[in-house]
Amino acid sequence: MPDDPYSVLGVARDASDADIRKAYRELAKKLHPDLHPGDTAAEERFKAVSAAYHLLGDPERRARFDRGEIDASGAERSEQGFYRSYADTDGGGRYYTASGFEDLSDVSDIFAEMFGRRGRGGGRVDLRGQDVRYRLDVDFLDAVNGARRRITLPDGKDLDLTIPSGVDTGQVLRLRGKGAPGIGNAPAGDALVEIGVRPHSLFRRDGKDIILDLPITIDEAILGAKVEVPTIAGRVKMTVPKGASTGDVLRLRGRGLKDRNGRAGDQKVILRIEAPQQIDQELEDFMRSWRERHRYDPRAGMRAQS
Amino acid sequence: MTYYDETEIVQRSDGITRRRLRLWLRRGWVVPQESPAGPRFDGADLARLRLICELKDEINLSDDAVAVVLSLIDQLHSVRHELRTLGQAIEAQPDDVRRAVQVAYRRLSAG
Repeated sequence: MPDDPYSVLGVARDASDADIRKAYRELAKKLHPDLHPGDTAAEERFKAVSAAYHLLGDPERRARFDRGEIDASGAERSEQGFYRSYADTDGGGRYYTASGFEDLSDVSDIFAEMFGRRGRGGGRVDLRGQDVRYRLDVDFLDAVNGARRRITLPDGKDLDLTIPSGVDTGQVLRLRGKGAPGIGNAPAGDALVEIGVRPHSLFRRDGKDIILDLPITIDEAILGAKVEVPTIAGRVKMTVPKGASTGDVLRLRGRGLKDRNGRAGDQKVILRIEAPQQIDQELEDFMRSWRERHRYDPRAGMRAQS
Repeated sequence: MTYYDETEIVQRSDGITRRRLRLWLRRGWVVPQESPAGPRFDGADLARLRLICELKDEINLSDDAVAVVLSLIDQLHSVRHELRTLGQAIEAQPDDVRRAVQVAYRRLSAG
């Protein structure tokens, strides 16, 4: 037995026709199933509200109900179905819109690929070609200075690739439209080339800086010297200061990699004193006599802490 | 599928007059198929026309508001459709892929 239509609409038994209409509109606004697709509770309540209004909204029917001639089940909404039951199947497909998804492409390419094809009067499928991944190992100096390389794709086609200067291992170069062809009117995918940088025998990289270990002789360390140092752009002269030690770091300003704004990093030169391969008698004698009178202790600080 | 012409649509629905129908077609609120004999409406079009009637006559929306509501409803159904399709696509994946999607989804929605 359905609920009392007056309480369904939330009106008094002596409410005016206008009040009943007003109450119905308020509830319809709140409950209309097409404004709440997927909410079955709203649909049930809306049906009850519709039925109640069908009964009370018509003065003649309302009078018969009040006299008890018909009961509250006197009316239910006809089986016409709501729009949402079409919209949720393919029947409503032509009313779909693609405009709601454009921003989601930021989140993931997958949305652009899958939803990008939607449009009015769809049916033909346009599907962007897949991205194709490659890996390319490049020499350290090519990565640092930039280079052009031609790579051969599995399908036999050649691809000219500009390796931008400063590229690092793990970086991915995207070549628009060089991936798998698209379906329909959709564009081809991209070729994604992951770069691997081969290590260099002399140079290492730390962000924008280049690091080089530089062996020096004892006499260069003691007396200071001007020495030739390799950099990523050729050799340069560098002054080793008097009294240099292993581990001292000298900085060649501006000899590192340039960043996007054109600001260059430095080359850091880490000194390493190398003893002569043959210790001759003269050096040995000199060191003995020197030690007699000039003993020094570079490990004093270390002992204080251990 | 059942189709209706203009006359049948007007006969079948209390609130729809010929004038209203032509106006709503012009506004693009309903897009029936074109045929040599004039527009052909299907069940979805009829249900949509009835919805417009209810929005106007029962909920008392202005024409401007009806346009806004229709646009939002269309967007909502598009999203629901894509969501359902996406769900079916995930459903068709092997178990481990489905689980991986579930785990990633829960992690993301937990914020």
